Amino acid sequence: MRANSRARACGLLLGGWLALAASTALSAHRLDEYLQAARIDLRPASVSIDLDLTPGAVVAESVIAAIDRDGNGRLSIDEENAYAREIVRQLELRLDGAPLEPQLRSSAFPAIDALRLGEAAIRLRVSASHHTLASGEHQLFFANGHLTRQSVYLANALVPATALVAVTTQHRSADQRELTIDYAVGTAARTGVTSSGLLVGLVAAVLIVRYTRRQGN
Amino acid sequence: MRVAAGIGLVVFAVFVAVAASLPAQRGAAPSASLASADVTTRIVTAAQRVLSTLDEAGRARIQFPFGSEQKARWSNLPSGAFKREGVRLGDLTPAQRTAVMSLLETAFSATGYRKVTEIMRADDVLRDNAGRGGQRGGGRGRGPIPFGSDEYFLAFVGAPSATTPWILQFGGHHLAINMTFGGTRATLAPTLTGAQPATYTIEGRTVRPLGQENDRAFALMASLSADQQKQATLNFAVSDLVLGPGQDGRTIQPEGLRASSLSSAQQTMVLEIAREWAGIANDAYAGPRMEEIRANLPQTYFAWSGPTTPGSVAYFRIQGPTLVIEYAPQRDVDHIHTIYRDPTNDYGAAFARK
Repeated sequence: MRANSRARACGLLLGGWLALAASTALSAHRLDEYLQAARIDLRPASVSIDLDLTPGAVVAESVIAAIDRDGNGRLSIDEENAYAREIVRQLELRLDGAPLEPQLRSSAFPAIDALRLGEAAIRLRVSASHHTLASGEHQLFFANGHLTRQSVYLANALVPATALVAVTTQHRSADQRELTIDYAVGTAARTGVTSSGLLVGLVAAVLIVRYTRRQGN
Repeated sequence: MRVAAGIGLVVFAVFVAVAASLPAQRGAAPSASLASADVTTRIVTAAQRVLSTLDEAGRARIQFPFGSEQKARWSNLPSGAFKREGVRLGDLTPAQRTAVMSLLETAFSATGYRKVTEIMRADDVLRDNAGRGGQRGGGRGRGPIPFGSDEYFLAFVGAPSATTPWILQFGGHHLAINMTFGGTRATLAPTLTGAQPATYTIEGRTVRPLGQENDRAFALMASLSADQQKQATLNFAVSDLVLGPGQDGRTIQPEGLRASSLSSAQQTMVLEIAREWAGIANDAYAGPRMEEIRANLPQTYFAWSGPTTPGSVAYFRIQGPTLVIEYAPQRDVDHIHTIYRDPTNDYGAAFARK
């Protein structure tokens, strides 16, 4: 068993360096890193995460091996789904301090040869539903724990698609593996109506009502 | 009493409606000029000249329906790692290739055309260095990844026209120009530029295809006060483009230093950085585009990640209501990826709305 593991490890290393040799032209590209980019969309009752995972050519063989569990050199739908679910299990989501359970919604895997070249992305869509948030300030914590030793990360909040949500600040760890998003729900901040515009409108309305009352008196 | 309250509510509603309409007005493009009409006609003529040099098979390869998936089929990757459609420069006769380059020269500004050709020359250098056993590069015959200026492709998405929308799509390794025309207007968004090597020498001349982008950004950062630098600085590593290929339709939350807090001179520096991308287009289109970027400057952010010493590896981003620019070195200063987008008008989406 141990010998098999060693042989498999040597095979992966050899495969990685063969990929490196085959793609010397990409030598300044991200060969030995696994780029994992998360883009997070916040809604009043859910969180959606688009996760793009791009293994470099040197680490691609080890990623392929992690997907190709039967080692037959082909990636089946079941193997891809299992790998996608494994990644999702390694995501951490907390809303206002309480854990959320991320669910895999869809996944798209490139051809195995494209993965070997080290530039094709595995794309996952993940979401987590929660109770409809009350108006006010909220905080989402996101952490990606998948293959941390060989990965580089990007993590960003998207401009929310709904005007009911407004992102206020984002805080990240130095490597972007962790992202904390502070956001407000139920404000009119993103409808294009500025707070000063609302204030002016309200003041004008009050003045007109008072003026009309006085005229009536 | 009820009447008074009703009037008050109506006034309030009018204020809300006016305030809500302001962002749309701020983002509106200036009206097209007669100059751009003339330029559009010349570009369409140059595009039709390209078509006239091709045989039937060539015309079938270069032409795609507007609205087809081809418009989003672009990448920073070299051919071989990414399959491009259209006509490949290396497959063209000298006359056909001259017609293509003439089209690009007409569609782009002088500096834009130079930038594009310098990016292509960088790929020649990459190939040649590998051929001499250098650390980088590949080239035909050494593996599955071909490099060099032959490996750039031209496609038309939609028929070249002075009235109906179409896209001039030109790209290869480290280059993806998606120039959408809508009558007399044109947008370059989304466009990707890159360079590897980012500095090379040709006939004794040092060439830096993206040198101005880099130098202007470092100069802006150096001009900021300590407090402004702190606001601009992202205290985390940004190792690649956030809104690169495949990220159409997404807008990330802006971060960094708001340009409204900059001095007039610093705001001009931001605009000059943006011009390095917007100015790739013919001046007739770049002018109105720069006015739009200038109008949105108060809502535009500048963000920086990395050391501030010139020559360092540093990422920066400029983001406003109608603009996203990212400049992302790939672990060293000799390999750069950049992206230029307009969240309101990628692929001329705004042209279709108006």
